[in-house]
Amino acid sequence: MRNYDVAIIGGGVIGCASAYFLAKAGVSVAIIERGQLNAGASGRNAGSLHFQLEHRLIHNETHLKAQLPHLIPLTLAAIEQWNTLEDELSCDIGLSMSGGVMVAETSEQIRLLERKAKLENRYGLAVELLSAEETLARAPYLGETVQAALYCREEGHCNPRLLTPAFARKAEALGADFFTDTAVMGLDKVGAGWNVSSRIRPGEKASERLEIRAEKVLNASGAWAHEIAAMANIHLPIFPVALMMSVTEPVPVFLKHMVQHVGRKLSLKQVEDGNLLIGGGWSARLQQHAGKWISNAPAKLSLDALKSNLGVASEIVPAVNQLHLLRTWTGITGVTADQLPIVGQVDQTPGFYVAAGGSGFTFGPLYARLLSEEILTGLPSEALQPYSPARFGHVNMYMGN
Amino acid sequence: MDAELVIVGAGPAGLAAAEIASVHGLNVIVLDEQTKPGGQIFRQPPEGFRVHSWMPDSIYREGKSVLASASTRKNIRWLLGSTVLGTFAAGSNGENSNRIKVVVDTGVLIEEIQTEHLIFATGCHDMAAAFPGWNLPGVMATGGIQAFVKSQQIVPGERFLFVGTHPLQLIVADQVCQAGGHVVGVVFAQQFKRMLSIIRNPFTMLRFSGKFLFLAKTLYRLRNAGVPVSFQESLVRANGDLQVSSIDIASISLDGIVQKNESRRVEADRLGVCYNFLVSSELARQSGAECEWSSQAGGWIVRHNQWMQSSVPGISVAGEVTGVAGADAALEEGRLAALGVLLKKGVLGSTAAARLAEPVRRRLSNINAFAGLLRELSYPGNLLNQLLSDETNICKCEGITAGDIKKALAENSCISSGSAVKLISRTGMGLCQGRYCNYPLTKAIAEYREASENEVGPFTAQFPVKPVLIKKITHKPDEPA
Amino acid sequence: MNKRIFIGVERPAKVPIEINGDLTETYLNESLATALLAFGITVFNRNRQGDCRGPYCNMGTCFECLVGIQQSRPGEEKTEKAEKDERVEKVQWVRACMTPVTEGLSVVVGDSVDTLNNSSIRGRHGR
Repeated sequence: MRNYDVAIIGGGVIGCASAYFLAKAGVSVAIIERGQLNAGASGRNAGSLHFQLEHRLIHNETHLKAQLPHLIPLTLAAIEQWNTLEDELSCDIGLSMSGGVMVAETSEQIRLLERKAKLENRYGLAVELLSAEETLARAPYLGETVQAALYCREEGHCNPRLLTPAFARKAEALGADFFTDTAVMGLDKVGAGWNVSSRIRPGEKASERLEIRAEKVLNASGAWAHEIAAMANIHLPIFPVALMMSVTEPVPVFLKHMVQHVGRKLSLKQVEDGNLLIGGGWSARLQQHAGKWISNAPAKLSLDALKSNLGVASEIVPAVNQLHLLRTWTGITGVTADQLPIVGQVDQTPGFYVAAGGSGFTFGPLYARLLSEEILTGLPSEALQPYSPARFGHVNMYMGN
Repeated sequence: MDAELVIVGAGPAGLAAAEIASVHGLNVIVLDEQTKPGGQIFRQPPEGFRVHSWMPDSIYREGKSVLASASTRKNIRWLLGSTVLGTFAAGSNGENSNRIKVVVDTGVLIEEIQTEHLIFATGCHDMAAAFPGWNLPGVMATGGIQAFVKSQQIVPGERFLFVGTHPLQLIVADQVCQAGGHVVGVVFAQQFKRMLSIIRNPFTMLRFSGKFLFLAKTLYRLRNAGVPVSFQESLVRANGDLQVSSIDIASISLDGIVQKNESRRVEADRLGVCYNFLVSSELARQSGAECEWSSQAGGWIVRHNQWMQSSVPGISVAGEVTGVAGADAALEEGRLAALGVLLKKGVLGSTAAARLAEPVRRRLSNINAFAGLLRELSYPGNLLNQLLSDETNICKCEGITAGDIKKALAENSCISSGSAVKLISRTGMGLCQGRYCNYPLTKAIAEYREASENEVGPFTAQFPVKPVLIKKITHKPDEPA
Repeated sequence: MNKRIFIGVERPAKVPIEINGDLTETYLNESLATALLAFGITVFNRNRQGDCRGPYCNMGTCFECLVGIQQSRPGEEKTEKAEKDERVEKVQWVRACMTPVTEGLSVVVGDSVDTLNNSSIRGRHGR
């Protein structure tokens, strides 16, 4: 049995960043990852830093108004953190915060941008509504159908290939122990702490076991956080969803912004190496068996969705059509019942923390920092209060320890 | 578009499969990137060319006859000059559909072909040895030089040097000489003794006398042409500014160490590199077929059962993609794969299929005995490792060097799979999509992490398996192309 | 030099193509790689890292033999759509080994860094 202060389940950005913040504070940490580090959504997403409210969050105005007062302070904190992250990690993470545009093509979409801009500005996130001419002057690569854009100066992208490993290296240097290709099989509350039982190389017949005793457990297993929660006898309303991303051949830099669309599913950016990353929330298909999701299986790509995704991208940025598609891949992320992430301690299982469920790349480092403080001090984070698992307390009324 | 059977690859395996399937009445579509059937070994001259004595040697007789007979069959539809980009389950729920959608770049447009039976006969390509200077213009895969000579009818250079471990370089050197080119040397890494040991066994000799005779004739002609053939030597580097102008060659000690400090310089403007071959299993892997590692048979070879069926229902494999064994084995595996499809479709009963497969399996097992010997003989082993310097590109597309890989592995102690190293280093993310670097990278990770290659695993092969212009995908059918 | 084999080989008609603006004659359907070698070109492109590259595999696998193909040929009339829409690409890369020669092909090849750069991507209001 190995002893740690905190066992973190999941080697994605939240897990590795939490390991770093905790280890930096002198806490002993073990990270348990069933595959390789950064192999899930953290390494497969398109690396957008979207600080404006996203397409998926603004379907109705009531929702929008309810979310903004919570979201914008967190957004401002995230911007502040991203501004210093390269220094903190002392390595290149492919960070570029050279602005983002959310474009509109119809008058209805323009009105939505206007309302959004008003609210975002009111709560303190500086955004600028650009007319068609202003948009094209700033972003000449955009197609003729673009009528307006909401510009956010701080938006941009970070390289998902590099961010999580950078946190992992830092954490390891500070003494965190990493166990990869190791799958957690059981969580038992014993006394004030947890016994975490895992299998090393779970696919193989003669897999060894890893037994860890930890005072606290952080469930950072992303789309599959509900499976880990079940081991602690907890329901976690996180639902896996499969998405696709594409990358083009590298070309000389011509697109300096992160491009989103207010009414259509699109995210588009050009990375340092010159490749364009194309995403925006087009779905892939989760694999299932007899009505149960197969949690370790890659999602299947849909050709129709790929055509649509590339279609939107090439309508908004016509040059996309002239480029070669290099690869399309799928990733699995988790969404919650109310679209907000679940971050915090679960009331029914003291010592069991969760951080999962949406916008994990843009906000992952921030959730990790705030939650680490919560774990260290034992005091709930004020900023994370709206994301507390307590809002789903009713589903766990008869669960827990 | 629909077909009862889709075959990807018009080389010996694909042709033999197409012939058998069409003889039994199936409507077959055969796809290939080349504009004519034949694959790399029977790569035909371009449309409108007439070559009077094309591949006259008797060892090519069977393959040429399969090519000729398949080419005349009415129920084979040829989609040539077409690149298969990947496959999808055709139904909306992949679990329940037994139809496969094959997505093809026909040059102008993307076509979708639906089928219940698919054979990947996607062959292999030359293994690229990475050494200082290997990316200079003028350095080529020996198979590529051969294709210029036998298909394009051009002698692509002034002074040719061939270096490697595979006997193919003798054949290509001979073809270059016969076409009027100047070959300044053929260099083998093996000891001459070891080359001979393979034929010491009289049974081997007897069984494969045709092949040995052909090689002996080739050697004889090269000697008459004054081409020096040397043994127990390796290349060290290729030199040149804009293109290769000379190559440094060094001897190999008895314990297998390249004596880099005592090299000799050979002037040549065309270097043929000829080690082993790597299987082209990207399409099979993109389709989800399970693979396993084989250092000698070409890297990530596709697993199959006795009817050449892969782990994915409806998808069979034949030829080099199951492990490099040469054209004769590919012909037999193609036949076997087609019989497997006919059995599964119920065109043949199990007794009939078994009866037809019996002689095929017997011949295949004979051929495999020879192929095994050849693989063992031509496997470069630890040699290629010695040629790398830290500045040598492993991934030629993205310019990722052996030193970069070592650094990534040293700095990121937890990363140990091929896909994870690809993700962190960009190795294999370029236009060739890892076809050349996956093999050396797999070996490098396995060695560094003291793991097996199967634990390291292959790169995940994604759609499209070759780059495709996005406008072909976004093109709407009602608009002109 | 790279020499075509003529003994025992009959070829189709010669067709004109343009190599870096120079008009030359080559044979219909032979590969562009062959035509370029016969023209005396060894360096096909300079890649993003600035290195010279030429054919390696000659079978469509390695993507080392990329050359630029001029999409709208000099003197050729632009279509109405292309006229209106300057986004139409000017140079598109192809694998020279997989591209059969056709009449009037205009190729950009060699060690100039810009050979493969697609000029269209600078956008319709670009420089």
